Amino acid sequence: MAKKQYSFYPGCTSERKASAANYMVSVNAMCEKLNIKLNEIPDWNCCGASIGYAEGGELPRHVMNARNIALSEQHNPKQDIVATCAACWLGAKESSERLSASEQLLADTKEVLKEAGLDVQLKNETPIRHMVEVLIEDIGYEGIKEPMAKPLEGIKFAGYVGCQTNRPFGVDGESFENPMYLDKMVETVGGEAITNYERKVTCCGGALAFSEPEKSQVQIKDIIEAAYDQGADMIVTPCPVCQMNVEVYQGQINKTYNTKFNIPVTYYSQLLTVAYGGDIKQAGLDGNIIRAKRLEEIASK
Amino acid sequence: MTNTVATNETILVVGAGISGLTAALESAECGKNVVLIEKNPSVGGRVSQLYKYFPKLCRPSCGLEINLRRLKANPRIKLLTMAEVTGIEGEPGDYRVAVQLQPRYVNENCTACGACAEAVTAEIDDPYNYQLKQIKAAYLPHNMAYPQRYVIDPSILGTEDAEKAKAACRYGAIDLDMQPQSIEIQAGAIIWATGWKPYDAAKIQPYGYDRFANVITSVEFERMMDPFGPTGGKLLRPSDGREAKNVAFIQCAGSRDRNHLTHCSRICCMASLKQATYIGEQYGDDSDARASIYYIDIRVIDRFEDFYEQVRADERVHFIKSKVANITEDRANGDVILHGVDTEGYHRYDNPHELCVLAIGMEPSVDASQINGGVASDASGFIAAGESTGAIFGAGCATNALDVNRAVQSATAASLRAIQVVNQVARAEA
Repeated sequence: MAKKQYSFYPGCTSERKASAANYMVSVNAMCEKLNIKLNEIPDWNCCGASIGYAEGGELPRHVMNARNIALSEQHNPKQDIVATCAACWLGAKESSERLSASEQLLADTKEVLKEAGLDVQLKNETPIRHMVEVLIEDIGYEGIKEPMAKPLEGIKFAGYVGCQTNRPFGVDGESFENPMYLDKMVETVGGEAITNYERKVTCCGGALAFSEPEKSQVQIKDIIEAAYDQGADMIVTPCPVCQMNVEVYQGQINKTYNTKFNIPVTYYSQLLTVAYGGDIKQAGLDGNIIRAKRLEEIASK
Repeated sequence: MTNTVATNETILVVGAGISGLTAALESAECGKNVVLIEKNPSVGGRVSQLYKYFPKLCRPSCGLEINLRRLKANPRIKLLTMAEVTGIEGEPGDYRVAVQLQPRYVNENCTACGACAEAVTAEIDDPYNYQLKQIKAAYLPHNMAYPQRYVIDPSILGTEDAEKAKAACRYGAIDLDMQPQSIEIQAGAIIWATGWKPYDAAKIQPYGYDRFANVITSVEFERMMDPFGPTGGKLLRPSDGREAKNVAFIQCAGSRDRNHLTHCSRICCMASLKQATYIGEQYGDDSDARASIYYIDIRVIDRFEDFYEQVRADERVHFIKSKVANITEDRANGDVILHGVDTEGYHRYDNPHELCVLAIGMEPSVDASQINGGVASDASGFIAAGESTGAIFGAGCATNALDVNRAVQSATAASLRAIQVVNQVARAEA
């Protein structure tokens, strides 16, 4: 079978030594098994993320994403743009839709790109997709199951979807309040999914975890508590910000609320990599602050 | 076999709920010949599923009985049940309407003795009770059903159950070989009275109708009050069968919302006020009993204001001016927790209730775009008057979200329009 080719937008969290470097490692291992080839967009830049919305201004925000789209058209023509980061996906997808909706914005954007030395046509026709969409829609659950070597038997997962892959666009065919795709992925590779986990789409606080830590930590506490309530062994998420916020503040939350949280927070790609027979390193499990021991056990078998 | 004599001076009425019945009766009582067709095995529509009417809190069975007597007494009306329109051809004054008749597997010999139901063991979801109850697969649609004739559900055809039902019948009323039948009806004018259906509550995702057992719709709540209904006339919540005393009502559930129905469904405020009185009726002075109505604004018009004032004076009924943001479930006891902001004072709330009733919006049963290749309609698919409607006149809730009173007025108006068309036909032919 020929490899499926995608134009890949990794985003800043996937950089070496960044918070989701291990996400990247596991995505690479997962794609290897699924016969997916990710062609990185050369010289890609920041999506603007939260700052783009706060102080960055409309035009700069869209120009930043348009630049990535333009580079993708130039270097990886006719390939769908795929992001692993929820914020990158959301930002790029929003800019793409806004550029399609406004000729003025498109003209302004092209002018700015020209000033920056990128005199391009900017067709803006490339679909912008999250890696989970590629898995669900292009590979399919049957296809996800195919390379499985070690089912994740006996591990109970709370599938935490978060907000950015869920609103406003969401994944086609999924409910906004109770999306099921993570649960289905978990079950596909032999794990146990808590299908009625009630904090699936609760906000983790996003960038406010830095600026408003008390408020964000209330959110995070709820997300973790609900997972424990239903007997989850670990949390799984498609978003680097969700992963980080829910994982790294557990110590602080324990101090504030006198709790004893110590629950691993993993990426779907780590689950799949382990299920496909990858080792701890390939699954990036060594990059988790709270180690996912149950997954590590399976990975080392 | 059905022999229906109809001419271009006949008025065809589609749908035999309260609007269709009214239009058929008034047309026939003015001397016109009427063919009245109904998709269900029994007439009466959604009115027959109500426990009480607002604002007088009387029983719909009373008004229905009068209408049924008029229907039985009038030789000018030919009633066909289990019948649906499949196509319309022609023009005002000369329509030919294709109608598909579904087999009931029970003929006119039926005396409604119930022996077939006793013989059958298979059960089906009861559509009359919004699938909240199981009934035998040989059934009378409900106690007041007209025609008073049983129905054999097609799911038992070819099974032992069907043979048992046939064997149990002492009147030779069960005919398992009945086939669907296509007929054509000629008509000068058509009154379209296909009514409404409740908006799909599962689409209002934040309210979790599809996830939480104790979130139900107003039409389901109404069925609970019926002594013959799914809960024997008690307000028992679905999760554990306990009596629900602390009940929340959410107004505009699906209505006045650009994500759902943009129109105001008009009846829901009065329906919830009425249903709030059921709490008092069930529990009397029990201090735990309370109804909490979450609303955007209360739309009770003209003479209904008195009813609103009466309900407002009841200290068991609480009003919270708020569009509820979302609902979560207390897994420990099955209670539902309503979250939102009370806009009178801007207080955030997380209120637990034993049961939550969604005052569900109305949408047309048949979208106007599906009628005769698409007739004039408003943005919600209700039939409007226009050139494209010709002599197909909407009546009742097919034209708008209406209460029973206004639906009947609308049916009278439609009847008058249809009568004028067939009068013109008659004059032209004289």
